[in-house]
Amino acid sequence: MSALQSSVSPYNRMKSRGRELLDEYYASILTAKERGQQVALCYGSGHSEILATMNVIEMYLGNYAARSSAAGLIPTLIAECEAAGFPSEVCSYPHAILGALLLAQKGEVDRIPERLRPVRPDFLVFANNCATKAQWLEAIRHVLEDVPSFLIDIPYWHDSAHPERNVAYVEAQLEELVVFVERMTGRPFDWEGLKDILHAGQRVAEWRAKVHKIANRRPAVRALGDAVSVFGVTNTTGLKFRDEGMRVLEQYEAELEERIASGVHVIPNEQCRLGFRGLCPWFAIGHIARTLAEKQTVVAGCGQYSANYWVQQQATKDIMPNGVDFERPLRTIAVQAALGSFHAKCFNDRYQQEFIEFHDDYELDGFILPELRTCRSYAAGVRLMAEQAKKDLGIPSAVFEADMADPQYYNKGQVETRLHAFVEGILSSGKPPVRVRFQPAERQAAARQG
Amino acid sequence: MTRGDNARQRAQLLAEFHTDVQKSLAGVRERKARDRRKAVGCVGLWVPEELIHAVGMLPVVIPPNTAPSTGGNPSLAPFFCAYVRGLEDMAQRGELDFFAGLVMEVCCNAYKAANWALEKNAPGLGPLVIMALPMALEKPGAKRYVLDELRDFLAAVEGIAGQRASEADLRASIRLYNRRRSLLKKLCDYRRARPSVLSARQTVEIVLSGMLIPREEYCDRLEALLATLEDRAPSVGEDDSSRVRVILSGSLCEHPEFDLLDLIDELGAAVVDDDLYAGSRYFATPVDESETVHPLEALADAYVNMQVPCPTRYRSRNWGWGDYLVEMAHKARAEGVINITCKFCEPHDVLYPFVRARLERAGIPEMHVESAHEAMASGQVRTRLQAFVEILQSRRGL
Repeated sequence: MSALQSSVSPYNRMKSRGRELLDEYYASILTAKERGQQVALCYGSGHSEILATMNVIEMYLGNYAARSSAAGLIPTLIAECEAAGFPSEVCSYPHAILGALLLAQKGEVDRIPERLRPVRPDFLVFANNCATKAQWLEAIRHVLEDVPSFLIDIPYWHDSAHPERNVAYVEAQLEELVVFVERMTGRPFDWEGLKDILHAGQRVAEWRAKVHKIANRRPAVRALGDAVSVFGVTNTTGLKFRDEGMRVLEQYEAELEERIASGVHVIPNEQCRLGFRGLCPWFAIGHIARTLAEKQTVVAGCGQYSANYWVQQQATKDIMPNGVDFERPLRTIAVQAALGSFHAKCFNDRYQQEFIEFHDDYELDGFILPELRTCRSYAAGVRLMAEQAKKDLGIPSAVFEADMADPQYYNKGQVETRLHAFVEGILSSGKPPVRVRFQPAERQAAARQG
Repeated sequence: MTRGDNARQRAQLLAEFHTDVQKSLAGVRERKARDRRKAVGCVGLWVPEELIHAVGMLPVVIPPNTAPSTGGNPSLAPFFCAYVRGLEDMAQRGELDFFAGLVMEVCCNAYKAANWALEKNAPGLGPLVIMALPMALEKPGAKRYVLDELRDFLAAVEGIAGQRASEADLRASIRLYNRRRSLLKKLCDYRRARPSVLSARQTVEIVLSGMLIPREEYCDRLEALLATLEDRAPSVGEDDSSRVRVILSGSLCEHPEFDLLDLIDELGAAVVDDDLYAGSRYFATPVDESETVHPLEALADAYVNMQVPCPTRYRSRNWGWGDYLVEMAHKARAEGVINITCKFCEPHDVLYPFVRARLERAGIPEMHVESAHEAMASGQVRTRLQAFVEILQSRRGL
């Protein structure tokens, strides 16, 4: 058994600490009003830096759903939504907060554990980097009557579009968002404070790039469970931009180095290493990890949870070659929001290259790709990704039905059978997988020209 | 023209509309072989067809796939809507290869998925032109963004056509499309007054035909049809007053199942208005023809000021799709609303509960039908629809 499988292991402290920090953060949302702090219910991207600058505490809809899912609360919340007329096939993420708000409206909030009870926000800020987020904003506005709201409209970025057009459109809306937040808070915007926030964000991005280099070692010293716990810290603005959050990340990095020095690996006798893409099935992370561990298999490449590959993307580098522009903070944020988000982008060769190149560093034997039942944005590219992984990296993928929050779309027995068979297929080939080292198209073309 | 001549001409015109729809893309291919005019497949309600027309090509709104979903090697999971899965199926079978190009306005995640799937898995397709218009219609920068997208779109279709469109060409196309809108609105006005004269299926077929055939020919034919309707008195058995008056709403990217439309007629209801895709949504918003406004700007204006609430678009105050239907019901003296959602249509699914709640507050009975690509559960729908009609009939006595 790996030392990392024990929650009391000295090599696993930060995973627990990360969770504690998240619990503390969400507890602080429940008492925000007592402190005179405003709460914004948020979804999407582009808003976090602006809200953090003005000390508005963010209740992020996706995080709420993840925590509810991990706590087994989703069936209760979705049942409430179904009673209100929503089919279960719509995105389970906003379903979670909507169900909680509906219960609160009915005076039945005591059916929700205290730590997961919703707070009536002071305002709503959503961004439709994924198309449905605008619809969900409208839905939540119907439920939370008279709560002011703001949408950052992020158009789908397709190949023939001009990135500057998207960025300029989003940047103009961020200027409006600043005015909106000033109105909501009754205070002038702190432009110097925004620069500090951007510096803090830059630190986190640099940290993630560093950890990427540690994390892709073979055998793995970090796997999916770790990655998502720490991801929670880097994805929660109230923590990411604070020294306290950064400390946890640095301590985690040190812990990884300790594991390396002590020879502690996720799977002591690692036989197979896989990549993951998509949103995590929050209620089943442990099940997936244990299922794979039975075959000495680790999820080493954890997709968005393991590195800041969004920021490293060529699209943002093309338009901002020198990185963050602290003198044009809104433009910097707009570039990331408009061009960096997976949801808003075209699944074109460039995107696929970036993703697969990233995982190429991990020398993967295959991918596991949950086809998220209620997230059509992520489900859209799953089968294409599987084809591309075979073509570009020469490795197979296992596509299986799951969902990020709703357990009704996850069958443990089927997933176990599927993953075991997948890994056995890889291992039984009897020789190391013939991995085609990925080469970007330009290099391939140059090689052909000889 | 005698009444008998009128009736014969009307029957012939209706048969032509019906044939266009029955032949569907096969008919478009036949026509293309005859007149050599390039055709461009359009996906999405907000594709600016006028621009395609202005460069001399025929815009064809791609109808839903009628064959069973198999896909061969599908990229799209079964929980994507039938329309986009069908699109990929048709593309993989080569049924869309005859188009000079395909254009798509990516309005939702399913269309985004279709964009990806078509690019990867349909190598025989012509150029795929993507538009992505802003969703938030009131943003100060939205119109400018739309204008820029329209310019790019025009350049792309000019490239496919191999010719440029002058400003005069653009204006002529806008005028033609406005003519079509105006004629279809007249048809709707007629239907509101005399709902039993055309069946629910016939009305939808008339609109669908206008998505397939050259618009000039379509307008002439529609005008001729309207002329035959104007002096038509109801025949025996066509007593408008006995039928309950209903509105059809939804079915946002494809036409409602014809079986459902036939059932509505059979069971004693009459459709007096609609906000269907294959209905008033398609022609609700006119485009400014004035000489002082550049055609592209007029199209951009029409887009940001669209006259129908669309769940894939956003306004800062609650859209009021329910309010829109309540007003429509009052104007058309409708007694009930039939909401049709397509299975896995997330934009509609998210907002439908609020539409229903609004109709409920207004005291307007409502029935929900979920359509799927595979055969409609016609027995169940028949029972439910029958009960709904009986409820509406019984309310008349109140």
